[in-house]
Amino acid sequence: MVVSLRRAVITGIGALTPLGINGPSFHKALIEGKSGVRGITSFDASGLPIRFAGCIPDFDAKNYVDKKDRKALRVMAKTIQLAVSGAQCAINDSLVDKDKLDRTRFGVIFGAGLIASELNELADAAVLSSSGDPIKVDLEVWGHKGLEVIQPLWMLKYLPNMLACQVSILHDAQGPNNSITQSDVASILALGETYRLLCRDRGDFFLSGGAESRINILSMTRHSLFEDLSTNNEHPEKACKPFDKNREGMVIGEGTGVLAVEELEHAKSRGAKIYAEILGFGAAFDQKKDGSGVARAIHAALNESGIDPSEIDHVNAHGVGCKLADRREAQGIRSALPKTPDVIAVKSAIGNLGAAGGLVELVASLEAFQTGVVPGTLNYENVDPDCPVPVLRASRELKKNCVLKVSMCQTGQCGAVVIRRWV
Amino acid sequence: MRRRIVITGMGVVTPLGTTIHEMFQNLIAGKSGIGPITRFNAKSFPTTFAAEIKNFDLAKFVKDPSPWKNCGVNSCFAAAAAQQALEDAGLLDNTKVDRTRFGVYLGSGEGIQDFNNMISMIARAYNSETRSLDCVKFAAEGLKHFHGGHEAEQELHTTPAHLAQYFCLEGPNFNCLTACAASSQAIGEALEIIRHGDADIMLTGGSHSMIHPFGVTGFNLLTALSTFKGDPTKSSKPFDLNRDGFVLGEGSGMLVIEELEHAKKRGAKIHAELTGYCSTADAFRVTDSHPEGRGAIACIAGAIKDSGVAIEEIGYINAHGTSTQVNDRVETLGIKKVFGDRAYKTPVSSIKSMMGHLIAAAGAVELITCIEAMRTGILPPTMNYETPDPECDLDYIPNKAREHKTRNCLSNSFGFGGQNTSLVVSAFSN
Amino acid sequence: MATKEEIYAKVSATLIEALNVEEDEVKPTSTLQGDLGAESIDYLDIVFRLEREFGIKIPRNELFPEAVLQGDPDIVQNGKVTPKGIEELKEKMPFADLTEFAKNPEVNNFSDLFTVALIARYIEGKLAAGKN
Repeated sequence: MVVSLRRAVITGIGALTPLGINGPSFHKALIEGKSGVRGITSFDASGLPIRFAGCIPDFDAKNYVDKKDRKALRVMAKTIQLAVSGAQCAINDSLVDKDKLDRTRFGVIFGAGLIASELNELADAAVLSSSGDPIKVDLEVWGHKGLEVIQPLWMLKYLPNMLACQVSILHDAQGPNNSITQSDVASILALGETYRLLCRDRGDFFLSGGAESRINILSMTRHSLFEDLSTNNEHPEKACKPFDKNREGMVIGEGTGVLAVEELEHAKSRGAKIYAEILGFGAAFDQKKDGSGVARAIHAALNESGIDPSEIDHVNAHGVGCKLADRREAQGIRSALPKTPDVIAVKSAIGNLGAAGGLVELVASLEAFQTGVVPGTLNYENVDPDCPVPVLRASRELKKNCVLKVSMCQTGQCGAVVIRRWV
Repeated sequence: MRRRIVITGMGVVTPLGTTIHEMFQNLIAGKSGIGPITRFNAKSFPTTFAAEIKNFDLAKFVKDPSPWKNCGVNSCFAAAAAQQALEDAGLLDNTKVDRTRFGVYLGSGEGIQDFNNMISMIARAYNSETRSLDCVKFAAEGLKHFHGGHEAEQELHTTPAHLAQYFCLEGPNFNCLTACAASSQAIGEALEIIRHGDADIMLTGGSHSMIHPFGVTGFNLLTALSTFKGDPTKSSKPFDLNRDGFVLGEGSGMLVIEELEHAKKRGAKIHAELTGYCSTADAFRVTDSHPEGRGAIACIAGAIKDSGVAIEEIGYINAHGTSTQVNDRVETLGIKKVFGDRAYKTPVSSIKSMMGHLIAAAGAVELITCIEAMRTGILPPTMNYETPDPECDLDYIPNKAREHKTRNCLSNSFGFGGQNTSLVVSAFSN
Repeated sequence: MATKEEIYAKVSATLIEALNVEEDEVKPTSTLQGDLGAESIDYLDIVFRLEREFGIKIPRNELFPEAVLQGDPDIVQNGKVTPKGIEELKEKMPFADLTEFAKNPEVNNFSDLFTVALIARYIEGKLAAGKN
């Protein structure tokens, strides 16, 4: 293992979540036990089996982006608008003077997912070239007449690398730039890669984040065909029950989480407020689907951190609320940490924010460092012997200074990060 | 001492061949893989040609193709190339190495959207008079007509998951999708994962196909594709004055990269050493490169510095060379800025003149081409080079392969959004 | 048939929307690139919007024939447009007054030709031709 003398600290938080904008209000709502899972109102979802989600009410990117940069918003799907908004919030919170940054050492690493096209943009072309029969589109008409009625910049709105690219353009960040597209584990892998880049001296200041919005008719239709989703339309706030014996599936949410990650001396020299230090990162693939991959990612992150497991205040879990995934995760955590600390599952309150999830969830712990209060987990009522971890129900005081964050996805990719409160 | 990383396995699925040997022979013979699009009826599109992979059958590559039954060609190409690379590396057998120290980092693209279904459903759910889409109707149609399995495979993380699952690769698993730089950036970050000690072996590379109605529509609308009216095999003309856009290709390139001592200990065959990597951002505009090539210059210079190889020792540059006006001009400028006088003495070529642009997969296939060029001492040409452009005045190995021994090559990849990656690969010596 | 003023008003509104600029920033002499901050992808978007707004077809390279200036040594030499190049531009852009540009025909100045008034003049020509 390469040991670096450079240390990575978190100096800024930007978060747009179903439970509030930015760290303090998000954390406050979590402590109060509120839920951001609610009925979908942004489109008519009544034809779907699932009509609720972790929605952000009234999001308007214009409120976040500099006036001179608003032109760029028109080539950004909502997911990308969330990313640039979150990035601006993180920059603001970090109080960094961008003019003093070495732009070639300013990087942007984001987690991103598949972005659904807004169907209206294709509708004129579709009507022209489709006879109405299922699965029959006249491609000759589409190529000839359809193309003329589609916005020419259409594709640019939906490219997954545009989260990080648009952020880099808006902030003139010329350093390393990457878009990690690993579903629910994307933003934690992005944070891990940021940590590696910073320690190997490829940059001093990074925006590390993730953003995703799947609350649109196309994504919701598609996901209801292949994801294990909760159908609790009557009580959306009760739908996501991580590690509970009666858990009934995932809840989709939307949002963004972006962290300013900075080299310690760089942060100190500008007198930055420091939330936490990143101490270790690990990644693995759970090929056997038994949680051993989760355990290996945790071991790797813990080993690198050099901390003793007894220093961990809580595990900020993936906790997605699905039968198999929660069992695998819980068993992985248990096997890596036989004396398992308290486990929290932020998804119980906001749903699964996909490529944004890991970092938005981590914000809950970062704010716990600030306030001294750790948020509990909603909807945990019945202990499941298959999930042998102590789930924290009610909020409690922060007792120790380290947190382990775990993320994983159904297909097997896992990531873990250890952070320590800056004191 | 920094860990040294060597390449011990390679595999390709390209429009010019589905083995390394076949592909490279076609490249040095100057053959073209570009022809009329057959995957769908593209007759009335502004661009009617691409470099397709014909008669591909995954069952000819992997023992059990069933895990890929719902996948698009993107994932299937990846499986076939990965199988070749692992076989080449002698690593198909699970028991040989610690699989938990064997990871995956791909730059693989999205799956193939169900164009016909989706467009006909939009048409049925759309009211042209009110200019609004009936979401209830669309949902009903979608739930009935979309195939759940196919839809799931469009997600961006499925290709690396399939490879890890099937080939039992339990180490760190990443995928990046940084447009046309994706697989180069994946290879670079995979290199860093091993250098840091997070793994000893990585399967890395990329896979992509955008030869489908949405892909051609999107690029045509941006006027990024060639709309050449003559013989399609002449359409991709990197660095030529009359270049008029890139040509879509498809495929996959996969490499097994490994820590040197680990490779030696198991007696692996070493193809080359991966010595340098750098990624930067233009941070300029969404589609335009920075006019002075600031991002490209920083990344070429950064990769060479990382490699420790002197500029004079770089004997071949495999260019990004897309055949668009801006890329080829800015790339030339970038090479000149970094190489100074040496720029004119260093042969440069773009194999996109023959196999088109494999988008996310391009960089991996091009890096493999560099390794073959070093091994054989033959550099592939830039085909269709007819009219010099005063702004592109380097030695582009025009139209004919060249015998030229070299021990170090540079491979560039630049993408939409200002993503730049360069890699340096070197002949291996102790 | 729309009047000159109506055409100008519509062109101006189209640019305000496409480039997200304020109404008072758009004057007849404003250059798209220099004053209003257009970049190359914006030209695609502007053409698309103008086509929709006026119900016309604008073939590629007709309104923005910058491809003419890409590299051909007969057209561009040492960063300047040659007399032959000026002739070529006059033929391709009958809607533009090239007198000023021809005095100091640097390629870098070419984009300054594209003002709001020029776009309006182009549209007038298109609509008149369509009527005939």
